[in-house]
Amino acid sequence: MSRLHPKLLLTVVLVIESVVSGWAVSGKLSRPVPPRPPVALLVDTETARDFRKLRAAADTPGQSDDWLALGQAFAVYGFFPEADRCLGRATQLDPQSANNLFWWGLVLNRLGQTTRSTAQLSPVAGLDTKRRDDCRYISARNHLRGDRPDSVADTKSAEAELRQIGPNHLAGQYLLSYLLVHSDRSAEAMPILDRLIADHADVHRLYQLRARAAEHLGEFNKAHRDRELAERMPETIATDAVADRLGDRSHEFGLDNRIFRAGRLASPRNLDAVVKELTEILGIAYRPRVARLLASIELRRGRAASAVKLIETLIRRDGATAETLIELGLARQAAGEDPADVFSTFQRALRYRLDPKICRLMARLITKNGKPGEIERLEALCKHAEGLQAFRENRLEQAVPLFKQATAVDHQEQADSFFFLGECHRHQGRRQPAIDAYRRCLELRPHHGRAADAVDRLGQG
Amino acid sequence: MVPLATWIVLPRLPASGSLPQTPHNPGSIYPPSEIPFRRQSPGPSIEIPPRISHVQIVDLDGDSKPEILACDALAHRLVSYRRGNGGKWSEHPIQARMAAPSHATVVDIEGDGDLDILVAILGNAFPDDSHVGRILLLERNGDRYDRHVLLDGTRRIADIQAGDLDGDGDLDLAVAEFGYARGRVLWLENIGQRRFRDHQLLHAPGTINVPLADLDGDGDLDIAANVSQDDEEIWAFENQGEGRFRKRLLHKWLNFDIGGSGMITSDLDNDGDVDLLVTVGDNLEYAYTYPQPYHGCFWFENTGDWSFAVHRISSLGGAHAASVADLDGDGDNDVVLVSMFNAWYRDGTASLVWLENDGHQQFTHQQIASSPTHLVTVATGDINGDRQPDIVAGGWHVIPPFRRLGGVTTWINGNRK
Repeated sequence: MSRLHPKLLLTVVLVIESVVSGWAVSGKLSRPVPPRPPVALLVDTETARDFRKLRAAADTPGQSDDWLALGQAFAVYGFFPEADRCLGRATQLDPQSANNLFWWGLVLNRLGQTTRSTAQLSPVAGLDTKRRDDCRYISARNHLRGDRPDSVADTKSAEAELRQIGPNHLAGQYLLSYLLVHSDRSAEAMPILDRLIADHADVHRLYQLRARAAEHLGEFNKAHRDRELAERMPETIATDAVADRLGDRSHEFGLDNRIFRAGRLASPRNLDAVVKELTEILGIAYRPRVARLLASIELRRGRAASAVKLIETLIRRDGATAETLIELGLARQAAGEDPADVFSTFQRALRYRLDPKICRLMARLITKNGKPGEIERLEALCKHAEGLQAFRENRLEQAVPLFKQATAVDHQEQADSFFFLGECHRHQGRRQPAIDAYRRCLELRPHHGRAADAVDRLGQG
Repeated sequence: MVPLATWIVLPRLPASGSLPQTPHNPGSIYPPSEIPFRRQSPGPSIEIPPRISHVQIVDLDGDSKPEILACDALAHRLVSYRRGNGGKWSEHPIQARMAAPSHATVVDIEGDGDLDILVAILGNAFPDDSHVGRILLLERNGDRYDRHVLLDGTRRIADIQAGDLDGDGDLDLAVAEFGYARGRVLWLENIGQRRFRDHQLLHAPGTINVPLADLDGDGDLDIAANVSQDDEEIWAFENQGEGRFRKRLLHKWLNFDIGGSGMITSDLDNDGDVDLLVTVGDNLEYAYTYPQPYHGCFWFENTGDWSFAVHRISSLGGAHAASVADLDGDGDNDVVLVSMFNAWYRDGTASLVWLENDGHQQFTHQQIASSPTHLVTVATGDINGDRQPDIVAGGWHVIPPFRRLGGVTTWINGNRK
């Protein structure tokens, strides 16, 4: 018996080793493989390297957080089917994680799988109270995005979600009002909109929607007033919550992360290092915002010729905008280029956007090289542009003197200066000065439709 | 021995399990077109992702050979392409230094027998609520075009159409002021000497197209408008004569993610009235896009008395523009669609399809191309003089992936019927 014992022991050990090894081998063989889309062909090398790292982490052996990280990376770069599968795996490993469920719900929303998206988001409301209203808001949009457009059931489900959202969730409250207005229930929307406007007086979309509601209810004067107010309210509502959620993570991965770190690195003491880093980034993949940042740093370092070259390339690759043309003009000026060329660059910018900054830059140039009449015209145009800015921010008291100065001089927008002066007077209740200003506008531009309408309206009043 | 072997072998073993299979939308892919099409790129080779906002086939110079007219919102210019006898294309810039042109309308606005061009100027190709838009008239004078500003101080202008809207014999304009957060639909009354008085028809941001047609069959031109920003709606403005219009809401979607992207008029069913074709599939609010199940194309069948029956005729992901032509020569109207936002990370997803009409407005999709991607504008017409409708489309590449690029691309119809 005692001689048999070692053999038995050896057999037992071998069996145990075989079972454990078999279990390990079968576990390895059956472990899910992270998806492998052709990332390297589609993103830059830096980002592709990050994807490889995240994939390796999920592959060996892959905890819930690893799968979540890979899923998030796929999502922010638009590989939604792959993100769906990774986040599904993360949720399988940790079904109680609000983060897993929330991200899975977002990705399914972007895939257009709205029923599955809502199913993932529903439990998050119970797991994470901070995300409760966001989840209900996205779920409501899911209901509205169903395959059965405008079905009563979908609308009711959306409304039910929105009714549970707290009163301070502006996007949710706006969507509830929107749904009511567009379901011919404007009377129900009105008190919600009144409350929202009382709390957020500078949000133009609220006035636009209330105008629509008032129109439905036959309150045309109120609708007209709200539309005019909407013209002078600067703020909007971020209703693209899904886009925002995905977009705000992109700096955590790949080249965007390197750009983010370079931006944080920037300080007057280490501009050389930042320039080197940004130049390397541009070599990996052309990003317009990096080119602009690099050009601005080059300008600060006194390397104006390099800045000119960078902005010219930017304009060729990404198209000109008023902003890039201003930057080009400033760089050319710093590089000592012909003032006529610099002026013409600013002039081109002015054609893109009537901006006080451009007018001031041009006026400064003309002061050195131009004729007095031109300076006066540019200064008047500058006042007009500043007046418009003040008007659109509902700063009427500040806009009036600016338009008055602008109307005193013959310039390309003089008719509009009179029109907006009239608008300011009208909104401030000064009827006769308003009519006078509109009439002066019509003398200069008889086909100015809005001025003619305003005179008609005030005449009737 | 066994643990040692396991220890050595285990890291080398590949994981070969699979993730749970979930239903997913792989993007729109269709069977290949039974009609052969030969692709050509009229412009120079592509080095930078192009942004062509509008294309059309039109005989600009009256020589009976149509040209392609394209708005280039990257180079800020209007350009035409002429096809020579050997089928070789040449490029002819018409006018530069216009800030992001979005649409060109060719019309004899002066009534002097030659074709002028009205250009809708966005001012900025990207979201911008400021007053950067304008309407340009390029007046044809012999071989040159003289430039006039017809309207400025507006938000971004997306479309202009010309027609006699007040019945006084001259051409007035319908205008889509797209804007961004705010916008309008206008009509501009021609008061002579290139002066137009503006009248507001609707306050709403996001109007893309304002086609003119006699929608109610009473002999005058009405205005249709597709609004696509805060609201997703189709409007009509019924012409009541003498410059008066009655506003009519033809359709609204409560899904404000639906992404209205284009609208044209056409008598699709050949029953003598004017129908509307509406594409939905815009996804520009997202940094990375994906085709949605509700994208596609709707046929608004005119059933008279301002009623329209709405039929979904396509679910092409990211559908962005439509054109109507009898591509297969069987006597009915087929539909050509382009996609801006299909699942471009996958090879083979459709960017250009045609919908074969069986004569009863039942359509079968046939895929013409998967490259170039990101097509936003399409037109049909006889490019090569063989009396068969060909196709031209324009690419707008601002969202990745930046491969399968194309600016202006033509597909010559090889149908032998």
